[in-house]
Amino acid sequence: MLISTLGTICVLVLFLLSVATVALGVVGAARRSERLIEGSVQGIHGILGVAVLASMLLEYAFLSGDTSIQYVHHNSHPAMPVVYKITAFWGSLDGSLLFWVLLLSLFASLAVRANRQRHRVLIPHAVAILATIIGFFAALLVFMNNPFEPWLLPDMAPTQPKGLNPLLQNPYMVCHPPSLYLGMVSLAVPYAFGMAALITGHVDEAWQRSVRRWTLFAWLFLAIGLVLGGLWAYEELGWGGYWAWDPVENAGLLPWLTCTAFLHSIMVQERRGMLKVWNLVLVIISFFLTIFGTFLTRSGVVQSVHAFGEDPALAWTFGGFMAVILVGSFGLLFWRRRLLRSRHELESVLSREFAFLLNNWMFLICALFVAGATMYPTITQWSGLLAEKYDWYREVMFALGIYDESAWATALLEGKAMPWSRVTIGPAFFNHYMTPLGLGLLLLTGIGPLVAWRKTSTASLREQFIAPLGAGVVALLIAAFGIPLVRMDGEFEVLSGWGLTAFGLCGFTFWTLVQEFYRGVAVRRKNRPQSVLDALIGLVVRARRRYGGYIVHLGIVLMFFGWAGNAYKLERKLGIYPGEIVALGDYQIEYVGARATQDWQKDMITVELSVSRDGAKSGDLEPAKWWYYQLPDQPTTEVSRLMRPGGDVYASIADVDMSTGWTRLNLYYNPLVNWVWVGFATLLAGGIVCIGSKREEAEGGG
Amino acid sequence: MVEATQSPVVANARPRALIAIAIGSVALGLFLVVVLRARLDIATVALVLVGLSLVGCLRGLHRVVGALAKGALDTVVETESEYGGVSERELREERRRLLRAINELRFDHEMGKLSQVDYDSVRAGYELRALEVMRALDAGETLHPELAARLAQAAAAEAAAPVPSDLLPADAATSVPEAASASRACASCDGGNDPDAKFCKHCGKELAA
Amino acid sequence: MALTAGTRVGLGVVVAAAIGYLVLSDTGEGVLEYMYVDQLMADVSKHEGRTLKVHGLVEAGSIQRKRGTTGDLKFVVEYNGQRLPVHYTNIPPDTFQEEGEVVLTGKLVDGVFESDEMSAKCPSKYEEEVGKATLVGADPKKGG
Repeated sequence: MLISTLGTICVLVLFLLSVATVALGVVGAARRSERLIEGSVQGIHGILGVAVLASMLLEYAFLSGDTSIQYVHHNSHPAMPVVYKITAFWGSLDGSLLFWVLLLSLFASLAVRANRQRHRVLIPHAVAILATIIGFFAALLVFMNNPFEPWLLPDMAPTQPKGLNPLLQNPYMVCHPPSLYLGMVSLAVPYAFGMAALITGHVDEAWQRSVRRWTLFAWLFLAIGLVLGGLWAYEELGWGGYWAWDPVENAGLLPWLTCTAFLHSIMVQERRGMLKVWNLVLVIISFFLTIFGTFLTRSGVVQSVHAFGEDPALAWTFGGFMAVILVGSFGLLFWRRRLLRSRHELESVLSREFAFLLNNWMFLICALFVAGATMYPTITQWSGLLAEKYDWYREVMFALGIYDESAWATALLEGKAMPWSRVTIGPAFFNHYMTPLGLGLLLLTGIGPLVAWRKTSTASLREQFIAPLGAGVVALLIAAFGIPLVRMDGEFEVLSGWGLTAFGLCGFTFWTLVQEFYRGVAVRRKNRPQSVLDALIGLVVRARRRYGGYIVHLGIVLMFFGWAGNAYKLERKLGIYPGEIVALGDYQIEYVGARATQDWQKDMITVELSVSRDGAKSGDLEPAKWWYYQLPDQPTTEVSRLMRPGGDVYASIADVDMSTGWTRLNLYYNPLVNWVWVGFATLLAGGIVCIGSKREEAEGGG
Repeated sequence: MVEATQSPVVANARPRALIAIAIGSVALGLFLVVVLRARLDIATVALVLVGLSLVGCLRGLHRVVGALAKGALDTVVETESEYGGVSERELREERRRLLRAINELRFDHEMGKLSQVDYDSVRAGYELRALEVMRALDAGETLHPELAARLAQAAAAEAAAPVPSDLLPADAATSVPEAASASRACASCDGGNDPDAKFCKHCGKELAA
Repeated sequence: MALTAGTRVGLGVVVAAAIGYLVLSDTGEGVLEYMYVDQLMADVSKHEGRTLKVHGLVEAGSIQRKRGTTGDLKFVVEYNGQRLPVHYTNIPPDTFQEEGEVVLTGKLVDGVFESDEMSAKCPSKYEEEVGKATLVGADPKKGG
């Protein structure tokens, strides 16, 4: 009980301190009182202290197994390994909100500390905004979802704590949610400084300089979180893929899309003082989307396998907060619009400014599309419910022809259910539109480096285009003729249009990057004689942002290469007896046998498969099903993969009969899938190079 | 831009704080294990951490109150006035931006993205603007803070030991006093320039690298 | 190439053409109607033959498994008093049980709902992220 009381007090103090900090920041800025502003700055640091204390208390409760706290009781079990007891902190709604507060206060404190002297003008406003956001989440903790809520069954014998689902007890649970949180929460910092810039009127790029590293950091961790999530699904869930356009997956993708656009767009403002409005819009939307993502996963508004569950009260609260953010931010933007005029005009279509403008538009459209398609099912449901309840709404729907008046009248008469239905939007819909958009972005990634700022001479553009274009065509031809040679079973569409286009564009963009490195090294060596390796290293170090960015682009190209393989996937679901051989593309898979084993935690049935190709053995697969004693009704499926550069052979068990050995297998061949992970590692390396760069570097690289 | 440097007081406080934390946690740990007979497991470690964060939290709260209790320091927060007009900071921003743009332009030209004609015309535009900006900065008669600091140092050094006259600028027409360290003479017009200048502020030509 | 009015128009045309092509070539296979059993039964003729998703509760005692295979069963789903017979031709997920909530994807054929895709929720389990377990067996690629 002590922990519960202490913890609740902590959370209360957190809320009150946030409110106080907001007040101090606002009043301090208005009165220009150094004393009050200093108070607000110390307030932010103080908030961190309280948040850390609250988090430590909760962790202590988990580690000591204090089941008098409801949250601990529902999410922990004495037999759980220590690591999962620690990570159970953010495993469920209440704790995840506290985790959000902890991270946000940490980032706020760091950001304020770093910028206290450099951007004195912006600080009080940034502090106020950050404290407001923290205050909102703290209010949620105090009034709605207190993680320190006591588990009030004092008279009964302590019930068996429920423990964490074994499906969630794997290393990905340790890394994936925190990474996503790190990415999402840190976007509040650029937002706060952007709003501070608007409020104070200092809308030149000083505010961006203060948050450049934060934006990169957020972008990087969002990418890590997304890919880890995909990898987790691929390795653990057994349906052979890694991305299903599930609403919660989309919720994490949305801020990443706008954040990428933002990262590129601020370069234009730095160089040419253009796209000021765009940058502010992008930072507002990026932050909004992080709150929107939290809303989607926690409110139960969308149907998803990942969602925390329904909570209408939370949905309304978040909805209100989001409305305030939108109205407030765009209101500020409108108020200061005259300060945001461009210094320069767009001179030529063949310029990097235009390429970045196009880039902004495409990412924004991607984000709007994904958001719209994710929310559309829910909108159809709300529409139906509204129509059932409100006459005026029904009339409007009839007038628009969306609902059929006669059908409704009949249903009403006959006392049946109202004839409206919700809609679900599956991956096919997303893929149909996102594939061309994605490939368009890949094309832009290739064209971007080829054009210069302000304008590019047509002659030099042509000269630069030739080699990459040639590489693209060659890649396309290799794919068009090479794939049929490799795959001889005719089970797929050889000339998959999008697949071939993807390969061609990969070749094109890849060659652009090679060209940039090659020419850069050549220029450097012309200016001072040195070895190629020295020149290469010197180039990357000297113009870290540019060449770090190129490394990231290289990673993207590799990921697209991996995605292009999706067009040629193979899938077989069949039941076989031991000794039978199944063909999957070029591979022959032989069912060797099944065995039953057990350890202290679970019963296991493992199916042994031998994989060979053209007579030579490639490897073994051992898919399994596990029955944890703790949860006897929910077996988990263990996937087995044979990983090769050319693709994965992937097997999971649907069903197995131990008396006859008959097993029903799901077999997949995923071409090129490992290039997605390799590409991601490259992206990470490039991101780290970029973060390490100091902004004051000469960008020439010469 | 002047970066805030850590004062010596702060620099010394860090290791002291770390030692205090280390001693405090060990002491708390010993207290728990020996006096309260707690087991030496992860929960005890967590409890020690709770203790530490309690101290940190209270300290933070104390600091907030402390900041408010202090009398008003300097009530003026902003040193720059208008945002609408072109302030000195913005001019420096623009100069830095222009210099970087010229650098990048040269690199792009060498990489083959711009023809000679285009390169010359765009660069001329940048250089002209850079000249205007630097003139405006000089006319403001405000010194770059680093330059001012260097001047102050030079004045103090000069008081101690007089500087040889051949290091002083020959051209007395320059409006900005030169630093006592070597200045750069322009090859075309012989005017004096800042040591880190890339373009002559009198005639606008590029200075020898 | 400067950004003239002509260029703008050209760009606009390209964008419009791209959007038009995408929308027109959309086969609509990704978008499925989703309704409860009572909504489906309210207008059976309208929904006959269309692929859609149905949400209901498995009626106690209605599960019949075909002998010799685990991948063929018949049962009844109900909601708000309306009943719908189902013929399911796949292996059900591990959480499939009587009185459990299921969402089936399939077609209504002659009064029986033919389906080969199911996602099932366990009634007594606590939520939060545990829903992942129900997808074993169903194929989220098809929008499960």
